[in-house]
Amino acid sequence: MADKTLNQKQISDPEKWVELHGDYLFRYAMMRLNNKSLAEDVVQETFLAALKARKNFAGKSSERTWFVGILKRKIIDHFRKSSREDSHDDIQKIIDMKDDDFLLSGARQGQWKTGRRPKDWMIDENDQSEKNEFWEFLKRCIAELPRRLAEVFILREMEEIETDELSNVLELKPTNLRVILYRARKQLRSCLEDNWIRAHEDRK
Amino acid sequence: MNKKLPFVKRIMLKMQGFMMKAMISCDEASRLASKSLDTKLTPGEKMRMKMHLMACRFCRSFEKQIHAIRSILRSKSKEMTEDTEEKSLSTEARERLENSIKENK
Repeated sequence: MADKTLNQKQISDPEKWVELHGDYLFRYAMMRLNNKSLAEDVVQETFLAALKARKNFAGKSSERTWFVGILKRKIIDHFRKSSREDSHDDIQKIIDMKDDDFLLSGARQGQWKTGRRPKDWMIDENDQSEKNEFWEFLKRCIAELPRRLAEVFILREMEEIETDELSNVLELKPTNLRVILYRARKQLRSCLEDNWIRAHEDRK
Repeated sequence: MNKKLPFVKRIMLKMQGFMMKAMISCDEASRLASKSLDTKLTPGEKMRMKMHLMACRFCRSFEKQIHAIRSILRSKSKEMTEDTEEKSLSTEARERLENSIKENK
């Protein structure tokens, strides 16, 4: 027993937590919530939860990873609550939304409409400045998504939550979740094509 | 030769039927491309999507785009979280956090 305790890494003094992890956790939360006071709130909740749970810190992972794990749950909780507050109509509206990217009739039914055909972006992901520029537009385009689309998209793409878990957490049918992600991706790619591609081509 | 024709024709018709079933619209192909980012496609779905992508450069672009969005989003968000030059807690927020930890310790 005594050996076990000796081998365990001790968690640092709580009074140093803000100093050690505060900024990092704040940036992590900001990136997902895009709201300063919300981000501060979840970081506070994280520290309070960590105080209660600090005995469970086994030192298997780094302290930072442990804090991020708690913060992650807090962020998911936030999105879960906000999705509960939404009426089911909102979700249904998004799902029922008419798709106007494709031809609805004729021999070419189901094909991209002329003005909506995706272009070859020829993006070079090894080019840092190109990537940075793309990122700026991507952030703006995410901000323009309907709130629900943006939230689900962030949880899936940034937080990397698998769809099974996501449909449980957000109480969404898997088929509806799939439609929401599809809509979000399609709207983003079209927003990027309208804005980033244009800005990019102008500069060339 | 003549005797063979019906056979060849039968094969052709079979292949045509197969192709028709395998051909999907851009609407469906783009949904499958998005779905493939979240779950494994069934062998049938995979084949239909691949065949469509071979024939359709718009859907090929679509698929590349949604992959690029994911990859840049994931790498940039990690990079920015690590970057200590980026946004940090305000002095007030820092104090608030430190006090709440002291009070609840």
